[in-house]
Amino acid sequence: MNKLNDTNIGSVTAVGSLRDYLEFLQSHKQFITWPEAVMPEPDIRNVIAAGGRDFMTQPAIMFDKIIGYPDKRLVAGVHGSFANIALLLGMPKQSSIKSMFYEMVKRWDSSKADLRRVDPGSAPVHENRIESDINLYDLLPLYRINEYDGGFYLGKANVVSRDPSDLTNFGKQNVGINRIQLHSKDTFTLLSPPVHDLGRQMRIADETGLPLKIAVMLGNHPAMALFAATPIGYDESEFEYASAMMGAPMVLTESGNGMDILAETEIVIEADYLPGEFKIEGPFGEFPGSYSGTRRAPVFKVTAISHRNDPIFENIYIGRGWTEHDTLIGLNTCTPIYAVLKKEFPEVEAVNAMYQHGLTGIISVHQRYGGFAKTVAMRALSTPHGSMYLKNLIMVDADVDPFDLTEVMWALSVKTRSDDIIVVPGMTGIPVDPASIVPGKSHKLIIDATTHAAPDLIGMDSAMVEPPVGADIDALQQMVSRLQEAVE
Amino acid sequence: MNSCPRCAKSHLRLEHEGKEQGKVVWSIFYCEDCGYSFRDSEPENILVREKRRPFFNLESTNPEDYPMMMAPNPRKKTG
Repeated sequence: MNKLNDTNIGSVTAVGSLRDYLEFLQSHKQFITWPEAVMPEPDIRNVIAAGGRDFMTQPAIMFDKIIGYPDKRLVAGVHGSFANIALLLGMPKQSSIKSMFYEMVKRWDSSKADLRRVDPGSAPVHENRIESDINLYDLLPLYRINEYDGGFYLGKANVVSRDPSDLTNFGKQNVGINRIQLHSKDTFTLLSPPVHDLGRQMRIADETGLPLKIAVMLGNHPAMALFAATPIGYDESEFEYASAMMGAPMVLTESGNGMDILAETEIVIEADYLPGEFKIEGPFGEFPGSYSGTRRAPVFKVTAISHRNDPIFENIYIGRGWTEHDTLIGLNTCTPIYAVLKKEFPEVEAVNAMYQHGLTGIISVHQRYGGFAKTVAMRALSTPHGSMYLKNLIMVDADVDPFDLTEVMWALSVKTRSDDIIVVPGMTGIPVDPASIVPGKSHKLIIDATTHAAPDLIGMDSAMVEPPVGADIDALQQMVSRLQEAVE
Repeated sequence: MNSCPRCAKSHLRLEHEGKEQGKVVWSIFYCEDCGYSFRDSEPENILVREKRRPFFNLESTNPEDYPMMMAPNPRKKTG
């Protein structure tokens, strides 16, 4: 399988689907097809994890010779490297992470969205429709993602749901990534913490008795997963953010159960929430690099499936970082925290919250006066994402690049003192943090590694060395490199 | 397979058979007691209870023994 479709994708803004993006990646040497036959376990996990060791350059990997799944296609690692993220942003694949952060910040505006619609009858996703004898095992080339997972998981499912009490509100329609474990050919468990939008909608369904339906999109335009994984406001649309970020239209159609879905999604699974029904779920190797516990989780029943001809099942390897989870979610964890902070504190320079979805974050800020950075830190901990995920927060000066850990370690080494360290115990945390007090409760740690400023007098008897910087120095650095390469 | 590798109980349900040229090459089973699913082609450290990491084996299949992820909100009274 070399040719994905008949189009020729020269620019990323022409990408309309997963297939288009794979072709685009291939033209940049960022997509490969695994040439050998593989067993579902442990071969697929091993190949993806091995490829993912280099999170800067890993290509997406297609498997189309999976033993026992003839004629099935699986792709992983679509967002598995910063090279693939850079290409998605229309940037050179060698772009620095920091430059991608600022590019994303620049495009962070859902008002520029261009959403279009096609009739379900002409949408590629509905090329094949299954409404009886549903069998997910027949459809999906499944594999155990981590060896002690409790079952077979969909780790990159983009789940669309509407607020049961406000069904026509487009903004409140949510697209999120939720882990899904199969429990039979037509049932699965799905986890969504109460603070997530789908979790909130499940609570509304519990309280009101109103039905909650979902559409699980597998194999999407790559901007979709980026925003399904991004914390945005409850009444903001992930479709709109995805379109604005790409500077290109997103084409929607309707699922059989009334959700808006991408017209060129590979597979859509329609399901009903069954309030009060639970199954033993997990464990599952999660993004902190630990297995979540074995718990009871809510059950959904599949009502129908649509899929394209010869569909591609898109999945992920997730576990101890870095994995595709971290490259998928890293920059778009930084950006919303930055966007909230910047409005209130224009002194904020950059936010690096790429570590385990923000469990550790680094914020650079212009120090207005002594203690100012701690004020900014407190606000970061009360942002929608920060309140739950940010656990360890390092504050650095604006001239320290938070994406350069050598600089961050320098700041930690020379700027901090004991009263610059604050621990706030018993705060909200994430259920899958292995260091939680109880799942969902954790501490908040602030390390203020900014320069001491008035009225603080400590440190006033020393001044920082200012190394030579600027365009002239950049040119000199390049000359040194050229001379070094010319050595025989 | 006669018993679940994870909980040792024996209510296994055959879920799916993978085939190559009409011949079964592996089967997926689901444990109706503990919700575990596995493929009979997986390595021994997954399929043989004694060879698994003991941390991941279950002694109880009573759902009440496991914390509820997302306990449901009570139904609000109407009218």
